[in-house]
Amino acid sequence: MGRKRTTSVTHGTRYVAIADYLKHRIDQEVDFYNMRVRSLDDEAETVSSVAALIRTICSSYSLRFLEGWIEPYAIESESDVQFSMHIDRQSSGLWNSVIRAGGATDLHHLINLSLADYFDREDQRAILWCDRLIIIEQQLAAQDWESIKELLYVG
Amino acid sequence: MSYPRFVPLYDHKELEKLLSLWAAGSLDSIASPHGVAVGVEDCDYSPQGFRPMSLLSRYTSEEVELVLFEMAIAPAPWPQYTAILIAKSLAKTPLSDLARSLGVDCSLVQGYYSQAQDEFMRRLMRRTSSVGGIYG
Repeated sequence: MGRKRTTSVTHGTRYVAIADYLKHRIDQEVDFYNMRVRSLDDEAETVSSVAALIRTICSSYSLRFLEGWIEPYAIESESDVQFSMHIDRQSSGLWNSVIRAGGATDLHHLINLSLADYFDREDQRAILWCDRLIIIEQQLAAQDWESIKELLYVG
Repeated sequence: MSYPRFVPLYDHKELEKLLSLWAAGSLDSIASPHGVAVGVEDCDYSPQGFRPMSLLSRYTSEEVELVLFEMAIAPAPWPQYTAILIAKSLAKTPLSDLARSLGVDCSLVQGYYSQAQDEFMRRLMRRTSSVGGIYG
């Protein structure tokens, strides 16, 4: 797929190869959160907030991996998108720990894994809440207060 | 039943607390700390004189349930907005989860939630306060 293979992550502005379907979803995600902001650094306007979101998702995934919550797996895509983003020292340090621990082969693998994992979990939660909202609507109309409290109330 | 819409003034945090206490079954045991001011609607005493009663000491579980039911059988979109109000207030569900489940952006669901809060308070205040008498 023409990915530039590196075994460790260095800080600074780097090109990362992101599977095109994941790049498409992260673009949608930025709109979903209304995160498009004007960039103050050398990243392009719309790239800035996408990069910020990727850094957050990747670091969150890295911490969960290092805590032993995640089994890494191979991830492949038909085509990749080259994406330029800034990687700060703190992020590169954390991400290198994951690569050293065998959680990913390189930066590109790690970012793709973390995005795939993020969207998997978001999709699962969306399905859960889609069903729950319908159930709550029915329970409200049936004045079934106890079932609503049982479904939602954690106290 | 139709009535003119008014803008309800209330503390959003207090509304969340009201619904939480209702869910916990402890709303009806909350009383005004200084006692009800007889002859003055929805007020209690304070060292400075009369003051509006808090939502928590003013409304009962029965009233909360009546309003939730009214909204649940109202025309669309109120049943769905009421489910959002309940999910957000009771389970502290992030609005992003609800937005994703409905296939809309976060800012839209924030709007649904705010409208549900306002409609809930509009109906609740109308049940028991003089607001309904003046405007309804």
